[in-house]
Amino acid sequence: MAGGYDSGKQSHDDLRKIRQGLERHPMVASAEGIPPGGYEQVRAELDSNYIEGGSGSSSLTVSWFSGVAPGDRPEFSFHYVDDTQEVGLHHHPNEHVDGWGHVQKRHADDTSYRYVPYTFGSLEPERVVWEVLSFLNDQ
Amino acid sequence: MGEDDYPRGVEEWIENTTALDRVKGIAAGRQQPISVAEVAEEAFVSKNTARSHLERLTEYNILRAETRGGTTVYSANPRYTRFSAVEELLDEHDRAGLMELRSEIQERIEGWREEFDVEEREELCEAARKTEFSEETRGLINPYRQWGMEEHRLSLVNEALRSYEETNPTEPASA
Repeated sequence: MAGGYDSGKQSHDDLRKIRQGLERHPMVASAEGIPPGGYEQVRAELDSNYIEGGSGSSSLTVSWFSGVAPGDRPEFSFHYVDDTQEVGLHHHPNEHVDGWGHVQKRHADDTSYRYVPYTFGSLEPERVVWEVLSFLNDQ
Repeated sequence: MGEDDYPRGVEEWIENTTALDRVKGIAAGRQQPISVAEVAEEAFVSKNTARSHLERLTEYNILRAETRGGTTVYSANPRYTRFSAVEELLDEHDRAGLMELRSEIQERIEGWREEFDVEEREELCEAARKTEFSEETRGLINPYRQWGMEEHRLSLVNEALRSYEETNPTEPASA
């Protein structure tokens, strides 16, 4: 803990904000902490009619870790899955692209992901929610 | 800024939320203080609107205000944040559910103690400072962060259990 900053508490509080942000979005049918109230992750059920090529049940699973120290960048992933495809928007160190931000995609019958660099417009949890869902809606 | 100039997602955010929703979405729950100008920029509202809503959220005890270098900055009121997190746990779980959640968290923490042969998570951070390779560092920092989250969750679950037992005194107390 640095100067009263607690990254575990901040991560938990950010995940609660992400759940609240998801609940406001018209693409989202429901959102909850996993486990309920516990917030290891946030999971949302989406309306796949919004996603081009999406079909059947569709969900978005969010992991979010605030920086270990104040001012550190958060590390997170938003992972969309339906019957035909997976699309993940990630922000963390990785070996696939230069930089932290990237999109990873694969169709249900693909064995590996395709990775593309991605720059997030903001790293505020609520802003990232709306950016990710706009990205998915545009796919 | 015209609509075409908005960063991705912002136009939908503005269409589907109020200015108060967006100001609260940016400022609430953050431990690091933020200024009116920063909130206005992130929430896509004017400075006057940001200031007005931040003052209202402070009156409601959702935020707290302080002056730094002549500027008013806002951060989460930790008592409100904690209260609302505990209330959510109490809404989602009965006593048995809270006990189960506590047991799961304790098992995870005990697993890290055993895996890394340490007592406290700070020992992982200390070990990470002495590594030579990034992969090795991340192998310690990731469980350090997860352990921190679990410690926070455990404190919330314990508080929820205490609250549950205070308001349901006929049930047997937890071990």
